[in-house]
Parts: sequence; structure tokens; C-alpha cells
Amino acid sequence: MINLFSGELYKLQKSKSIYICCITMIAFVLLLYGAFATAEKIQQGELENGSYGFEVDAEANHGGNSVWEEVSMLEVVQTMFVGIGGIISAIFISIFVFGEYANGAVKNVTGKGYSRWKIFSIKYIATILAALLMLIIMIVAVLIAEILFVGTGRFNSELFSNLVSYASMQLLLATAFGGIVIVINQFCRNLGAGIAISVCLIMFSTIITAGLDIALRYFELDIKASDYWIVDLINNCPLNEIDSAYATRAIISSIIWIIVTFIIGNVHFQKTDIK
Amino acid sequence: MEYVLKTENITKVYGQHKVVNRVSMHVKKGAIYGFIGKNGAGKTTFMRMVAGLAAPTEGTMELFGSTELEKQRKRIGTLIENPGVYANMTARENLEVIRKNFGITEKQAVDDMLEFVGLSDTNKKKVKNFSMGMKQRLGIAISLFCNPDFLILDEPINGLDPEGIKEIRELLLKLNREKGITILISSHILGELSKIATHYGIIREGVLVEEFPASDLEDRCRRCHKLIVDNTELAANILENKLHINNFDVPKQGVIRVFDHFETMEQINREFILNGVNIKESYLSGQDLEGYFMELLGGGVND
Repeated sequence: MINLFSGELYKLQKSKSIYICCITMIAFVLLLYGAFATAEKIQQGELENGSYGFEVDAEANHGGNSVWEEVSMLEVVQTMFVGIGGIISAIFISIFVFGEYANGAVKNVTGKGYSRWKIFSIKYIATILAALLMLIIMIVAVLIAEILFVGTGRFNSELFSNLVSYASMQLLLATAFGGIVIVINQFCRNLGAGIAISVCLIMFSTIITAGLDIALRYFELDIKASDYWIVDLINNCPLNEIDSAYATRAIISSIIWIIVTFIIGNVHFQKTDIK
Repeated sequence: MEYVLKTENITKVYGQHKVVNRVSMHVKKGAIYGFIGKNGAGKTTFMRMVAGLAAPTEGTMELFGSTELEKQRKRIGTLIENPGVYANMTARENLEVIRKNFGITEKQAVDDMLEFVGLSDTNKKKVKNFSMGMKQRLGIAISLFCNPDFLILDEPINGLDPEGIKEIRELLLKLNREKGITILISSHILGELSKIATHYGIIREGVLVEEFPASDLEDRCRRCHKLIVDNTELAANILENKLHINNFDVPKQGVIRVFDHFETMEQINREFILNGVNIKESYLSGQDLEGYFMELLGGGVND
């Protein structure tokens, strides 16, 4: 299994997509901070309103407060996790998983002394680890951008404590979501379809769970689908002081989704014909 | 007899369609087994089942005399359909993935293999920019990388120019003769296959219709007077005792093939009729290699 893992790491190292996805995430972080910094300069009168295409709404601006007082670093991290971070990591996972099937490279290890269980398990672990690494790089990028644009003035122990707990929870949820994306791509074996379904899950699945919640309430059932769906849990993760009820639901749901996707993916890979 | 591959009634069904139908194949150790069939005859599906890439619906299989297939498949190198390569990597990087996957510690093995298949000068060229022939060579390099005892090659000379075909042919003969590697190879280029194969298997609509050694091929293609008769024993008796012809055979009941005595065709027919042997058909037969295979395959080789 170590050999297979070593092979996966080498493929990751040589994979352009991981570098492109990381650079894209960093670029989005810088873009976000750049936008806030421009808005701050407009607000402070250093730039005219409308500079670089930025319009600052005077009414929305709470009495001329600094933008940096309105937007915390944690909120930037949240914006990245809930939006672009999920989409980019889903795209990366789709590319990496599909890469094995695109030219049939998976057949070079299948039936060569390694059980299919081992092959799938290593692929699953390596893909998830790479996706998590990208999200960690995204957090580091936010920290660096914070220093570059704002300085270290807002850093304190409370911020780091909240950042660690928020990021840990999001990484756990991202692991579960990564598992779902892997299984989707395993079934599709089509890059376009894999990416489209994964991105649609991020963008629209919460509408479905909201509908399910209404249906469950209609039948007077004391349960909410959105409480256990990973994308809802990612979107609703509290920034400060994660309450125990949410933490319990998020941890249990993540573990269940990880186990379920791991088993489904494995069973599918066992039975499928490799072309 | 030591067999590297022995299958018993291997069958693969997709939906209602039997792609491979009760195939019992026997590949002897040290053989180069030419596997011939039209497109869609079931060659690739059969090879994929042997390689462990698809599960048979029915039937059993032995590899190297063992039914522990997963363990024995370590000894197989495969190039089935297209070469399994990462298009955005170089040839060296592709082989490096294989080296790491199989825990081969000698880094030099990659360079040696690139040299062996003539890809050592590709440097940083990505596989996506390779010609078909170069991809095939890389596929062969991947299949050979773990020093297999048994090679399964599905159309390995597809897309190669005449020089490339010659090189691959010489490479396969070298591997077979010097390293004793048994080879199961499918190809549409029958003339090329006949230069290396020691055994043949003919598959038609999923059914293995014939299996025979290459030494039989000349005999099978030999010019003869073929007679379809109702009483084979009596006909054979007439040939031997009345006409004193011994150079004939009975490939199956009702069929007699008389070799060489073409000038006596009329006499043979007359004697048979006079002695109560009914002749259903009587004609001169004899084909070239391609014609013979086409007859077995039931039409064009690759139509």
C-alpha cells in the first residue's frame, strides 16, 4: 500500500491541476482583500468613489467606519470555504479522479497483485489529502493577505482559537464532501459531468434540503434534512464559539458521509469493468 | 503439458448479449499465441477478463497452473486496447509512476526500459504529443516494466509504421526466445502475426472456433481435392485399396482431403460412385494464409 501511496504522491506532484487550483484560490483571496482595501481607500477619501470600478454605498457604510472593522479575517475565511474553496477543490478532485480513467491508466495497477480495495482506498485517501492541503494553503493565503493588507493589528489569541476550531470543522466537512465528489466522478467517469454535478451540489443542493425540510415539517416530523447534509453544514458552520449541538451533528454527519462514500466507491470499483 | 493460461467455458454477458461464449483457451508455456478475430468478436473482452480488468459471468481460469488469480496476475504484463498512460506526463514520468507503484528501487530501471523501447530521446515531450507508435511503445514499456512471465498484447502494432512493426516483432521474438516470456497477442495484421505465432486461436462471435499450432497451418492451407461424402470409411477404403492413394486425411466425419493426386480427380469421383459412395461436393481447395483465416472468421478480418 505504501508503494501505491508513493505513486499517488508522485502523480500529485506532477499534476498541473493541483498547482493551478492552489494559485486560483490564492488569487481569489488576494482579489477579495484587494477589493476590501480599495473600498477602504475610497471610504477614507484616498480614492474617488468608482475608482477601479468600485462603488462604495454611503448608506451601507455604518457611519464611515473602516471596512476592516466591518469585515473580520474569519469572515474572509468563511467566504472562501463556503464559496470558491469548495468549488475549486471539487474541480480538482474531479480532474484527479477522472485522470485515472481518461486514458485507462488505472489498468496499470488493477489486477497486478493489488486488490481493488487497496487501489481505491489509496486513491480516496490521496485525493482527500490533496484537497485538504489546498484548503490549508487557502487559509495560509488568507493569513498572509491579512498581514499584507491590514497588518497584524487584528491578530489575537481569540481570533486564532476561533480560526483553529472553524477551520478544523470545515476541513472535516470538506473531507466528507470530497468523498461525495470522488464517488460522483467514480460513477460518471466523465470530466464535464463530474464537475457539473459537483458544482451543482455546492450551489443548488441546499434548495433541495430546504424543500425537504418543509416536507418533513408538513408531515410533522421533528427532523431537518439540512441539519445532516454536508453542504448545509458547511454553509451554516458558526464562526465564533461552535455550539456543541452543531459540533455533534457536523462530526457525526461527516463521519457517516465519509464511511458511506468510502464503502459505495469501493463496492462500485470492485464490480466495475476497467477500460 | 504446462500451461500459462487455461480457461474453461469463460463467458461474459453484457445485458442479453454474450460477448464471450464458453471460451476454453490453452496457452502453453513459451508459446506466442496469435488470437484472431474480427472487430467485436470478443478478443479484447476475453483479454480483459484474463488480466483481471473485467469479471467473467461464468467459467473458470487457471494462470500458471494456479487458481489464485490475484497473486498470479503479478506475473502478467498487459497492453489492452489503448496504452494506459498519463497524457500530461513525459514517458519517463509515466514509467516513474509504475516504478513507484510496484516498489522497484532501481531508478536506472526507467532509463533502461526507455532505451529498450527506443523512447530515451523523448526528453520533456509530453505523451499527449506522442505519435500513435510512440504511445504503443510506451504501452509495451509499461507492460514489460515488472519483468512479466506472460504478456497479453491487444493489437500492439496498431498505428505503427512498417519499421515500427518490424521492431516490435523483433522485440517480441527476443522476449520470447531469450527471456522465455509467453505471449498472447491479437492482431488484424495476419501476415505479421504469422511471422511470430507458434499457436493460433480463432474467435468468432464470442466463440473460440479453433485452436491449433502454427505447424498445422501449412497443412491446413495445403492445396487438396476436397470431397464431402456420405460414407467416410468406405471412401477411405476405396482410396487405399482400389486407387492405392495414401496421401489423404479425414479432418472430420464426411470430409476427405486428397493431396497431390489432382490429375486423378475424375477417377476418384467415378470409383466412389461405382462403389456406392454418394458425393455431395467435390472440388479443388487450397488457400493462402489470409484466405484460410478469413474462411474461419466467416468473412473479412476487419470488416
